[in-house]
Amino acid sequence: MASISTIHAGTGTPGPRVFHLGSTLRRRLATTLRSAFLLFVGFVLFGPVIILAAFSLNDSIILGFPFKGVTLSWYVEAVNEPDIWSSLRASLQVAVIVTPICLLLGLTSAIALTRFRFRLRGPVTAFVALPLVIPWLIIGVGSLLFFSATGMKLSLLTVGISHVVIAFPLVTVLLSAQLYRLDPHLHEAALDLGATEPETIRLVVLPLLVPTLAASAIFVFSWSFNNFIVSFFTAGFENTFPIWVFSTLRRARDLPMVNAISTLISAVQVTVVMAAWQVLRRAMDKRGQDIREIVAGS
Amino acid sequence: MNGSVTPPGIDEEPLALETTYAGKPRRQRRLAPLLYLAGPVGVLAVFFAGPLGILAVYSFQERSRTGDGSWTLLNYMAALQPRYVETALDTLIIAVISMAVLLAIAYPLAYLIAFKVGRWEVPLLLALALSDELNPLIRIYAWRTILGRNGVVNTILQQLNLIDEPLDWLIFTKFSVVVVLTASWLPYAVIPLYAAMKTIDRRVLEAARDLGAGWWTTFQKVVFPLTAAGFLATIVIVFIPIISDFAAPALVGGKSGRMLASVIEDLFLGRGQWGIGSALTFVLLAASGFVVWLSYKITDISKLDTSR
Repeated sequence: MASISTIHAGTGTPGPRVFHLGSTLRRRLATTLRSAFLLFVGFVLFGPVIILAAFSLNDSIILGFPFKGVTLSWYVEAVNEPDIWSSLRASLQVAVIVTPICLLLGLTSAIALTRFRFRLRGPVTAFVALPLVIPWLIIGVGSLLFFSATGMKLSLLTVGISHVVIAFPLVTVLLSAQLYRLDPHLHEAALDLGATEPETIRLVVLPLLVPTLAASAIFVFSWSFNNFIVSFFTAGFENTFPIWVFSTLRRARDLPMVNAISTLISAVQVTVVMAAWQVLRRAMDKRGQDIREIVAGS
Repeated sequence: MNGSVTPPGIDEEPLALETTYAGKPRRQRRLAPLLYLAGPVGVLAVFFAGPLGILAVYSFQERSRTGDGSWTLLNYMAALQPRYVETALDTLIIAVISMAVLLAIAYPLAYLIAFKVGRWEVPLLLALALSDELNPLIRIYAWRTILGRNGVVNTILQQLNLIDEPLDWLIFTKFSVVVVLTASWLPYAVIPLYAAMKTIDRRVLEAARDLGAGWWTTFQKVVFPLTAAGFLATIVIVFIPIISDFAAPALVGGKSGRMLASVIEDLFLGRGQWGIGSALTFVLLAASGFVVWLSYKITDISKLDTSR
């Protein structure tokens, strides 16, 4: 202590104070830069969609300036377009059926791959994870050839099948990560206490997996609802919503209508997804779990 | 470590329970995983392996509109025509630049979210997840409001009298494709990087600072080595969808921003040249496979993964 105060006395008081001032400035600068960077990222992620929403009210057929006044006519036109509704219905139908199937397949595969030791476990694990690293374009093109070679008529059924293929491995990965973290002794204890294997899964493992299952459901539903490229190749003459958007974007005349319906759909998606995450977060807080676990697995 | 992205089993040794079934008959122990796996593996064996298999077969067959299905290597020869090679090179250039920009944004962002933003951590993560759950086509198309001829950038520059005519390289060029690809895949790049950062013990960073390391030394000697595995995983996760992207070049690419996926789509749906299309698809698959293999090889060789 003595030597430190000697040094201070030697250099004089301005030394440390200047240093202190400098570090405050630097910290301020760092905070400002950080905020600017985060704002920039926010703009990259949401800016275009927000500006699109503003232009959807523009009384002009051009996507851009000048702003000629506010109108709701594009919304009226969009709402009265039957193709929009039928394509939305198709997308919802597919997503609603695909999601539970993916959860079931993801759950059974995750349990098998994390809870049992068997000879082919390594290769089977790699095989189940493989669809996640094969480009969707290739799965889409391959499915088109496969369905036409096997004589399956392209329809919403073939769309749904390919969505299951691309989406359930994601559930497997998310659930496996959670299963690794669970205390293996819980499973063991249940079996030792006389529970059968199905009972153990139903009464012990499943309740612990509920938050991850819910998060998986959100991911799978939006993957399926939003998927364009795989649906594009496997839908034949059917229109899902993304396919409708894609084909309509090629006709300049209908662009304002696309802006309007895009804004509506995005607003609904934001609301639903935010609400779902909030519910999930509350539920996890109650259990003392952290939602970051699902995102980061940390 | 990294729940959302690392395929289990590739680098993780699970806690399989040999003891679980110790008291049960051997047959049941053997059969249980089979029962669980029958559904998922069956689905993939038919509807995933089937399509890839048929692509492989067709790439070696005469499969144009007049084709008779005889065996040939001509598809791969045709895939080497200058116009396809040119598009393949363009695709590679666009993908590599997009990756570089993406990592330059995603890496510091992941670091900030993991260590610097405090109570904003969860909201920012959810914002990333949310942006990914918007319709990707709408997100891509919306960039026309920013980059388009009458878009925000051109209008502002013209109002400021910095330019007379709208800039013509902002939209329907490689530039716009890079911007849009970067924006589209940002969430997928940040999340694995964030997961890798989260495995770093905060005290290690504090120790580095206490020992007098500046931010560059800390980054170089501590943060990067500890996140290198996540960094490579991110490259794999993002490079594959970027190199095979179809929607971005189709909606904002114009003629100069064409990518391989557009050519493949045209060969299948436009011209009915299934043979050449399959061969090109396999070239794309090989390129993706090479990147995956390379990344895992690098991780393996240098044992960069010190996070566990």
